[in-house]
Amino acid sequence: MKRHISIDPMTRLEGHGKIEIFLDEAGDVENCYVLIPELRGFERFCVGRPVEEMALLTNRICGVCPEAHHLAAAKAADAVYHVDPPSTAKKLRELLYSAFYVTDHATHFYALAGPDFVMGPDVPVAERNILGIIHKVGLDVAGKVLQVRKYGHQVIEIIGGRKVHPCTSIPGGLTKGITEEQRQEIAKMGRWAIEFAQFTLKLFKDIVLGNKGYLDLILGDIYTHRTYYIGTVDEKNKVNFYDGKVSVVDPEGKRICRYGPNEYTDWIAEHVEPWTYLKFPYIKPIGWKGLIDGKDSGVYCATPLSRLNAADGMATPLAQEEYEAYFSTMGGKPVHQRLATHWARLIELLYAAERWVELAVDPGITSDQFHAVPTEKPTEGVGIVEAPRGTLTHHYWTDERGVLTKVNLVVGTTNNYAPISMSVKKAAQSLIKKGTVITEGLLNRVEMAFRIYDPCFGCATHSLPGQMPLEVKIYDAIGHVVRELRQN
Amino acid sequence: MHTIVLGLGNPILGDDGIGCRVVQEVETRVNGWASPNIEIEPFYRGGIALMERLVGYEKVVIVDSVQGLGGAPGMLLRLTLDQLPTSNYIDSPHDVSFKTALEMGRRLGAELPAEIVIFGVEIAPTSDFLEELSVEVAGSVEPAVLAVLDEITGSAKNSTSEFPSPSEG
Repeated sequence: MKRHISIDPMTRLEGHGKIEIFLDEAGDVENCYVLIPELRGFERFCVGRPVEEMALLTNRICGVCPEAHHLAAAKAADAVYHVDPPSTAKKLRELLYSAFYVTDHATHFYALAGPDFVMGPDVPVAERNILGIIHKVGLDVAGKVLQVRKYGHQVIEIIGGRKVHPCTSIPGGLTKGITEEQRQEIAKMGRWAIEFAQFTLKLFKDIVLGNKGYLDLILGDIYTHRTYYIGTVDEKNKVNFYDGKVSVVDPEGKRICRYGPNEYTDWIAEHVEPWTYLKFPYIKPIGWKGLIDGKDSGVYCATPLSRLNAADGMATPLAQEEYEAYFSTMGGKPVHQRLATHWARLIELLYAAERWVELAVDPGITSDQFHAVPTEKPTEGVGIVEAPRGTLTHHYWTDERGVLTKVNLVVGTTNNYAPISMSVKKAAQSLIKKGTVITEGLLNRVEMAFRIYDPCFGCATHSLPGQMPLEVKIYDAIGHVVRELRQN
Repeated sequence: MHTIVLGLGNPILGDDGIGCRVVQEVETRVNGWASPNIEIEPFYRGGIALMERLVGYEKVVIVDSVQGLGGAPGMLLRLTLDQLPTSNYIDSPHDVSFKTALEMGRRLGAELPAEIVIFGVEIAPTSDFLEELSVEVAGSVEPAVLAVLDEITGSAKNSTSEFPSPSEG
């Protein structure tokens, strides 16, 4: 008997991300939905405000990556005013952003992704956390994590004016520069961050890649999808988080375009499904064919794994070595095995730390030429940065006074809504079969498919009730909940 | 007693911003008689970041929104850490829980507050960006401000510095 699935949209406004798994009469997974509540009215909230407020306002959308919103908004405002910031301003913004990336990626690995591997996916959730890592690896590791976060926040405060919610980017550059003394301090902290990144990669290799079970899990089919990949690259097609063009590669790894911010609507469109408020972005020229893999489906991914697939390499030497080892181990480009995203994220961590030092020792970084006064009439502009969890696009329209008349944002996690849904469904279908005893460990393996993407509901949504934003519910063929997991 | 008062929340997300609104008002009222031993500020992150902010203080007073405690929007609760169910920011969805972060910090020997007081204001689920509070939640601002002032006045009495009562301010 075919069952009609009805989901009350109001339940999605309670604040939880939900995975709902529906079993057929035989007990196999018939369907699976990932539900992410969406906040509303941000565009309406912004219209009527001066565009230069956006760098302060948009970083309030999210408590997780305000730095990404601050810089995407700043770049969009530069574009609205048709002003090109001086190179010192661009370098300082990128330096701030590199330090932010180090703190963000480090936190994700040790707090969220790492416990699945260091502790093991089947360990009870109460033990599968950073305290478990401390217990297994040693207290010293927690000290390193806090130290690198402290250094990152210091850099953000020196350049961005505040530890949280930077406030120094304005149309045409920054409100202030840095002194020679600050530069030296930033460089010193960056060198320590490189050592930390190398330590973390070694930890990953020893514990994860050195374990055949984990390696088989990474290389296996359960967490594999063949989709398009996007990521920002510099003029040499190397990964860049702050500036460049967005490279798009197909599932065979062939580059189909490099689009600039003003061209994003030529390449990215959004599909609407009736069961969710959140839209599904896809590669526009390929078209939406549903939540399916392959070259004919416009589904794409925008993650660390995606960025490495979409680029020709890393722009710093140590990260480049890791990049080569990664593709060699994974069997060449592109890498479709989504669990490798955690490895790719650590390669990005190393790149960000190296870039932090490169920029800190740049002779022009202490110049007082950190702002160009806008002289053009404001109109319309797009700013793109790579947020840790996906390409972040801000698009603003203003009147001739610079007052916003329209706003559109495509945020990091939203890019990945289609692949997240596909990965979770495939993991559920692979792991839950007729007669399977559904354990917490098994459900965690389904949830791992979700965690790969480092989804941040702070942008896609907000106001979560404090818990990990995830409930997993399994329904039998007559609609009864047969198992429920809620992360605390 | 070296005390920090943190108002958590998002000031552009309606009732979610109640914590920020309360500490803003507290700061205004203590202006002029603030003790150097007491710091008051809004804060926007949970988990590890919140724990990091508490290093070096003996007492913390947190004001945050909570959901699902069974009360009507606007209900004010005084909670200890052990009584803490869920609040909107104390735990970050992208981080470890606040309790885990505190445990991590303590194991590392960080000087974290021995006394943690949480004022939670019940709110309905929020999904729209706006700067105003609902009528129900706005009604909790004054009781929450007075409750925080009571807490920090007590802290001040226990400290060595002079700290007049709110009525003298």
